[in-house]
Amino acid sequence: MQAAIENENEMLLQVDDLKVDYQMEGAVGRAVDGVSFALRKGECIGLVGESGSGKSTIAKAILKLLPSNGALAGGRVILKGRDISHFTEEEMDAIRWAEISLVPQSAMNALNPVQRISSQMVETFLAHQAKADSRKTLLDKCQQLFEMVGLSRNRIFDYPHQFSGGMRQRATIAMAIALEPSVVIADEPTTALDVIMQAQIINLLKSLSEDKGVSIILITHDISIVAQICQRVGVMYAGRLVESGDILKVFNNPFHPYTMGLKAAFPTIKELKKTLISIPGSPPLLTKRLEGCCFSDRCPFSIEQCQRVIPHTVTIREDHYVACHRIEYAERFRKEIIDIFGTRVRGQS
Amino acid sequence: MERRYIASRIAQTIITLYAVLTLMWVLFRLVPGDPTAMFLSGRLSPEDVEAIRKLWGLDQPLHVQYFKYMKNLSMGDLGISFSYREPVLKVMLPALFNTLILMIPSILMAIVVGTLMGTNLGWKRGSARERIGVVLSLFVRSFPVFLTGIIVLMIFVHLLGWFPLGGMRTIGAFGLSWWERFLDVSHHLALPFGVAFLYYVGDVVVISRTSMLEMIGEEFLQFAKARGLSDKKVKKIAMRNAIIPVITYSTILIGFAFGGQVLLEVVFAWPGVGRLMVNSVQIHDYPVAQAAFFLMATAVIIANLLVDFSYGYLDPRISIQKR
Amino acid sequence: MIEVKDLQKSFAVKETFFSAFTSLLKKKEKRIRAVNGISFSIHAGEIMGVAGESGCGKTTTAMLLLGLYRPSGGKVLFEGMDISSLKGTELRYFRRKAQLIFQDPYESLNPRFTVYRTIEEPLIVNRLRRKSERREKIMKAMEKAKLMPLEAFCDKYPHELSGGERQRVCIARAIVLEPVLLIADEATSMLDVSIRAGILEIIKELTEEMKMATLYISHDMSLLGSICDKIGIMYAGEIVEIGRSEDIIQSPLHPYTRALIEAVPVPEFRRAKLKLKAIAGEPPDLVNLPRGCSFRLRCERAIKACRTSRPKLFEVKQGHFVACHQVGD
Repeated sequence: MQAAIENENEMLLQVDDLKVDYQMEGAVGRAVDGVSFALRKGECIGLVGESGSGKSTIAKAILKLLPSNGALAGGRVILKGRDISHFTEEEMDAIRWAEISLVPQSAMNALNPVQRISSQMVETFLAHQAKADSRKTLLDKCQQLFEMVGLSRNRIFDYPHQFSGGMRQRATIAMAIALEPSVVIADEPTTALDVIMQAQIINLLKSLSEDKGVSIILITHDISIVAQICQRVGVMYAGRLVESGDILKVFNNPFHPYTMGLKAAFPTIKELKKTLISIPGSPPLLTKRLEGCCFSDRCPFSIEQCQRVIPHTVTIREDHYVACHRIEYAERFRKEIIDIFGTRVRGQS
Repeated sequence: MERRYIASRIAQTIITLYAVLTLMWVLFRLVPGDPTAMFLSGRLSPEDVEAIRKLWGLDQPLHVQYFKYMKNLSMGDLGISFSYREPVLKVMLPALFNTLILMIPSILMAIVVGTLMGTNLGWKRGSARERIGVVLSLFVRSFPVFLTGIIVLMIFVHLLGWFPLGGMRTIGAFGLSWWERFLDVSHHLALPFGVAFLYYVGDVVVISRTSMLEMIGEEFLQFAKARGLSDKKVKKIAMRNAIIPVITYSTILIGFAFGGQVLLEVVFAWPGVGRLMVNSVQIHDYPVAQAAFFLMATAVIIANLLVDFSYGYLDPRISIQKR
Repeated sequence: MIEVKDLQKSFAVKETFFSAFTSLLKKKEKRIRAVNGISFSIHAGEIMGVAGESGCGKTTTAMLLLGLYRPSGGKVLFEGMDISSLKGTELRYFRRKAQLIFQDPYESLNPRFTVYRTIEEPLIVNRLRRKSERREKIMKAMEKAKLMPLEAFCDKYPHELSGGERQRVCIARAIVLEPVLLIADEATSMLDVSIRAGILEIIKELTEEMKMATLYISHDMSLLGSICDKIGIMYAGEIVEIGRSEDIIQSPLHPYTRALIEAVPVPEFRRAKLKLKAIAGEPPDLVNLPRGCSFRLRCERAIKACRTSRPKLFEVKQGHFVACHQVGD
């Protein structure tokens, strides 16, 4: 997923050595620390990580929607060959939604509670059209979008609170694809939903990506959702991308102990007797300056070098990149990590 | 909005009004002092007093008095003023008119200016302008009306002599055209209007600023920004959501306006309801005082009703009471 | 052991002033039927999972079990006593012996209490006067919740702890009174995946070790499958299927259970992606439940009988009950 080496033309969006800082009560916290990845046309990539890993900050940084105490501290965001990281607010207004749209985590809070959904959709169109279509044409377009995401067309005049959680998320997805943007960023789109609604939304995103060719960046903590939709994945930990590349390579043969751990920590309904692991400890504080590998405190295989030297990202094979000092022992680690951290949640039977 | 909800709120309002009326009536009967006392200067014989009491129906048992009062009231008859010897309505209406031409413009202007100022201050959180604005509006708000009034009088009347000292019209000016009368009243109105405006604007600024501050960081604003809406549009969305509590407050303010601002009316010798009310309490003129209080209570209760209905319009989440 | 018999709970629909009059006239009251006649039992040392969509009555059931709601019908038997008839010392005993772990470890801890003080609180409330005795119990609870080393945690405040540590403090607080019934409401859903299993392990171990009856509420079927001994599936206030975890997950009988399981994404990585099976529709309005089976409107296999009569739970095989007209017969 290293940006620079790929062919520029087929690259839709490249994030290159992105760094984001937050001002936190006198100290500076680095939420994103040198993350690079690229999104090809029609592709769906996943960014997985736990809370505080910086995955949502990347979405905000790409759209330049960082809160007032956050700022880009380096790196580039290249959209179709143009570096948009230095764009002014006005220039960004044209990029936002027309080029890069967002499916938010909580659709309830993302929709204006006192405005009909129809008018929120129409105003989005209007903000991007110099010569506006008539309101009727736009409404018709919005209703077509509604049908496309599986909502009935006359519900478009409802207020957000009249929708269930799943319907609201469908509505925001309809909004996200309204202007046919190059990239849709979905930020934990199913976290607030029940299993069945989640499955519906996953299927919807999948059909958008597979049938309509929409390019998606899916941000989630759940690797099983990534498994359903994405072709490629980036695993994030403490603001850094620790492992990335083709989803089969990364998750079927992980090289970074954190990726191994994440995979082994997930229960699966197919294998109830799977030994689940739990990795003691917690990610380092944002404000702590890291000398070495960000995972070294919790890593069972960490050696002195890991504490001291930041590991470079290396290419294991085509489209598989890892930042770890001890990749040569990966095969052994995959087995050992389960012995070391395995719990007896499902021990006896 | 559901028709049922409206119906039930109106029913509630009527019951509340009735309860307030009754309570008021009872309270006034409990107040020590008899209205006839104001005539007992020794000139009246006990028989005369008795005759007056009889004339006014004060000799009858309380419950009879109560039902009579209610019956008359339901026909729009508020009774006869003890002191003016005229129907209460005839005493009240001019005073109410005077109060309203002072209060309504100043409160409306306070609401409009205050909301604009407050939401703008809130949007510019942390700026020097915001801090100055907040301190200033708190300062203005915390000044008692009579003090501001006296200071204003000293500066603009005594020192500069730009405005008349008080009252509503120039005494002794007759034969003016309607336009000249309008100018004359406006001239008298300017200072109390300004003082009332200052008094009310502070609160509105503070409330709308706080309400706007709560909007900052709302996800739907960030989502609006992400949709490529301009800052101006996003601010408009924020304002639309932020004014909901301001409207509540404003409507109640207007309700209170019907009772007048006693201190303001006293300082500027403004012949409004506030002064009338205080006066009639002092001289035990039950019917007038009672009507004045009732007017004020009614205005506040109806204002509350309007707030509830406006909520249904402003915030669609509230109107739905289906279940 | 805790036993639930035909438990029901309904709430009055919020009335407006006006509708109160009209419903008085009609003598028919609208009620939200949150829990609609459920029965099950949890034995000591056993974890029972309850799954279902939001609004299915999971949390209401938990509240009923804790005696925080008064049932509208049926009863909860705790060590043989009907908990809604408890008074005085018996009630206090029950309150001590029934404990709850919340979903959000960030909001369920008092930010001004140290870990020690937090765990001490239930002991103080229950008038355990001797300080040394309290100390001993607190230490034991902390040890059991794996808050080790003890000295390192005692004086810490919630903001100094990670999410997993906070949840362990919540567990220690819940077990310090040596409860018989423990209810965990989505106890790990707010936590990072890499530490979830650790919390589940503690709950599992303590349930066995302390012989507690544990009720684990979640909508995550794979999690329930891996920790629970048995699982009950709730839909619109009813239990539609209940049985041993393996039976429920590997051979589900009720179409709703099947729908829940098929909707779970699986962390298996392949090139050609399979579509998840996601049934359409939403749970019914709890005020106007449909006649017959409450799931029939979303059920692909609904037959005539589903419209007319409400299916009852029956035992398909030992310990595996299902309420569906299509199964058995």
